Amino acid sequence: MWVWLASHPAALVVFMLMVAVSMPVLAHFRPLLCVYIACFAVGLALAGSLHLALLTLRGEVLSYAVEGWLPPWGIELVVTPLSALMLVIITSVGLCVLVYSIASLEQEIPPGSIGWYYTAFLLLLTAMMGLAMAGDLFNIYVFIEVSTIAACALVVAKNSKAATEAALRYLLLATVGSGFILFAICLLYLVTGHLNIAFTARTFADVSQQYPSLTWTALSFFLVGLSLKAALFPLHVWLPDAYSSAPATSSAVLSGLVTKIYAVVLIKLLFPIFGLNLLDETYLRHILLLMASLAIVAGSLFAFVQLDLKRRLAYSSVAGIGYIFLGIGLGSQLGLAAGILHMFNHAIMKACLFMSAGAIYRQTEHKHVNRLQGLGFDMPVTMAAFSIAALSMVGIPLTCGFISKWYLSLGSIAAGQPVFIGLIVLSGILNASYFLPIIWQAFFVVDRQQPKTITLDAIPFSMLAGQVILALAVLFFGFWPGFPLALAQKAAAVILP
Amino acid sequence: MDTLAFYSILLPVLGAALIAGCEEHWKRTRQLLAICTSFLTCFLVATAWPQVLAGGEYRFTAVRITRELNITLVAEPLGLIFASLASLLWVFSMFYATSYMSHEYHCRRFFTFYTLALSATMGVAFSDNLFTLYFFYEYLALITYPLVIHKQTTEAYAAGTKYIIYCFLSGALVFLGMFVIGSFAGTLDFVPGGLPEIAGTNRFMLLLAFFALIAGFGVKAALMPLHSWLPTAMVAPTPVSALLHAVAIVKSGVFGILRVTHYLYGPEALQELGLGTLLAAVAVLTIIIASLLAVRQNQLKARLAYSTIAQLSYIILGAAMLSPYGLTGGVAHLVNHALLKIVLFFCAGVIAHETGATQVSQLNGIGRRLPYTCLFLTLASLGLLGVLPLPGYISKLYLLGGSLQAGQPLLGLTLLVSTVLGSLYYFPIIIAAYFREGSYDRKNGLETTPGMFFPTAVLAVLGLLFGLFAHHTTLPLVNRVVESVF
Repeated sequence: MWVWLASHPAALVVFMLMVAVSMPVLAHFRPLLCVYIACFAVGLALAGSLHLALLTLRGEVLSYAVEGWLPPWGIELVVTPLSALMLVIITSVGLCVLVYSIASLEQEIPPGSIGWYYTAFLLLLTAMMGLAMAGDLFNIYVFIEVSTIAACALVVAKNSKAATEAALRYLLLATVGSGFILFAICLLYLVTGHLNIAFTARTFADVSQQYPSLTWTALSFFLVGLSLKAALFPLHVWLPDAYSSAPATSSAVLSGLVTKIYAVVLIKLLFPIFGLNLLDETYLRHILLLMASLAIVAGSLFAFVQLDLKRRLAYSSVAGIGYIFLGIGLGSQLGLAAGILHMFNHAIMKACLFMSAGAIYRQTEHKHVNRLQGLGFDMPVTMAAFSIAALSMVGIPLTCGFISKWYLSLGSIAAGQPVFIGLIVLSGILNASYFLPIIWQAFFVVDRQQPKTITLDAIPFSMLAGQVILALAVLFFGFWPGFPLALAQKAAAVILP
Repeated sequence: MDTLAFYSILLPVLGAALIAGCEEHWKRTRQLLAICTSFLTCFLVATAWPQVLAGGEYRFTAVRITRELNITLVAEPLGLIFASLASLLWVFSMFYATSYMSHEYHCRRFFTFYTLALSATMGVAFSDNLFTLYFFYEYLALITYPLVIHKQTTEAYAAGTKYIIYCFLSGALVFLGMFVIGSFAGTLDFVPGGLPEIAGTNRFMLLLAFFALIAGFGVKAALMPLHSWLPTAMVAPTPVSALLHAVAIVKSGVFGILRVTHYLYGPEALQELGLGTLLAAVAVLTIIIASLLAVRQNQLKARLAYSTIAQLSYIILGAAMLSPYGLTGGVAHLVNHALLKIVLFFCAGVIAHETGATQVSQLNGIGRRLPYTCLFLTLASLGLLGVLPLPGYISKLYLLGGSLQAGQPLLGLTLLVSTVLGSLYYFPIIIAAYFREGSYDRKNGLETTPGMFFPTAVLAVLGLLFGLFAHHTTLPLVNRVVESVF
């Protein structure tokens, strides 16, 4: 079974796709069973992904040609350490969100659409897994489209006016992004005659000198299209509305996973095809660094002024994306490894934060960040999970957020640009300024005369479980970052030898 | 027994967990738990003395994250001095606090965090590398915030906000310095006499890291101009201001500076970079300005706060001299100042508790109402000024010796000037208490509650003994520190 999976990694995607399309049928007969089947399927996928990750950690690069048609003609799926890490992130965070959704969904979306919601959810996971493994440009485009439409469906599922408006805006901008990416793919195909990434890269190295302006155009279209999808500042305008109006499960999976997968696609295309030298020649690396720095500072500043909890978290995601692009833009192996590691860490902590926010909203109906006084006594478990994830965002040692920052700093020194250490420290202060007041209020602002007694959270167990698992993961990977770190370093070593 | 340092951090955490488990009205149990925890911790720390005096150490790696990032705890001379000092003073403050806080609200929260702060201080004292130190330093800041805002008045919240902002800025600066050191030297370990890897690295980066680290720890050590949180934070209850603002927090800042100057960079590297003189200049300015400001304060606790700022810079000055005697004087002053300043704060607390007087101008004739308290206050003030048999004398003598040894007699002159300034802010209190006519009358029996009186008395006597028998108490271990560094 394991051996077969290693030689047929595409089976993961096909399996998930089958489960996704069977959801509405299942919902028709046994609506309650949907989520458990989905959990089971994602759990199996997680086991498979972990297996693949362990294999790539040993140095194996697994590739699979669909139907035995070898590249450059056939479709190829490649499992590099980067894809393996992404698969693990997608399936593990996806599983936690699914567990959380067992109880949280019924209140957030109309009962009739639950089956369709899980279809969209699983399709999104499928598309992302496909993106992580796809070895050719055309399939990357297809999976991008699938993931965009599925993500829009997740936002619009709430069926409220705000959610519909946000989803429409997201759809419009994402379609523009897809158009840009498609155009860039066409240009590449035009000059190289290949769609397979490895073959494109090889041919492109020869022909790019002949068509300088075309190279430049293709690169820019890729960058803008993917930055738009990944919500890199200032192309983030669709993100805050979409995240804050969507159901909690959707926001968790959108901010935890979806924006990151486009960064992965960018890494997959940027370094093998275009290469570092070209990036430096066109000053695009500097622009990338500038945009990343702006994202980190502006995202945190915008988050600081938001008073709606979910909007605050959404803007802090903009800053999180900035970190990842900073790692990419540094152009050193260590920096790239740090960026990839941050994808893993950020996925865990941001998903945890959004799930806590959903739980808070469910119990108290408060959205305003200044109305959470004493909440630590009413919802101790939720607020503990929230605090752990928030401290990790700030970068307190022994949480996984610190590890990201540490390696990003080492990476920026290795790249000869120590100025970014200052940026990282600054963003830590900014993060502290908008996360810590929430924690203080929750635990310390209580009535002077009447000390509150602690009562356990009045929300379903599954919602607690989802958050607690992720909060524990934040701590675990702060203490023992070995596994994601080794994968990230391996991934960076493969991409930037 | 390698885990000794680890257990001395774990023990207060367990104690705090038990205290947090007590209901608000279980007063006796809570007091007993708090006192036992601090006493046991003190005892545990004391058991490390024979081994450390003999030249050994206890080292324990609790968490190994990556090669250069690990939480390692070590009981070695400098850390042990600070840990013994803090845990000893914690025992007395715990007695004092149980009595002082007996009519306050939120005692459960107060004692939980008061005990947790002990564990953070132990962690600061026993950290073996900059990462561990940074971790416990941030932990201490987070843990003490609820203590600063304890009264929950608007003023307390304002002070708390100011405090936490300063703390996080200081944390961020240490973070920055740590990143730079870590990426250039490849290690963050503390090595007596300085990291060998540090020499020969990028000069600009070394300077940057030094300024970041010193400014970062300097916030807590109340180096001017980063001191302004300290007088504001005096709004906290007296046991908190006594222990945290005269001993634990400010001393953790000073301790961090000592670690940076003598365990990361080392005297030679600093000499070469010319940073010792710079640090000494900042310390001297802080001493003079803070003393002048202290003279102008009418509020007793604020005056003590400014005198703390000045006294802390003595220690930094000792470190900045980069000479053996200077370091001896600095570390000895770290101990002496803690012992004496806590007595002063306890006295201020007794005065406020018994008579409600918080201003210096209200102290006229208070010696009649609180004769013993005023005696302790006088003893401690004279001790800090450095009158002959009292503790401050020893540390000042070594500091003077250090300035001569370093070939900078001007620094020694500063000490004399600051002593004169010190007498300008301490003597008015003593004169007012004993020689001015006031409206206070004598009271029969013990002048205040036993829980507040005895810790003050014992500590005052201890301070006196530490001065008289310095060569049998603090100095052996201080000499160990100096031997290992130079």
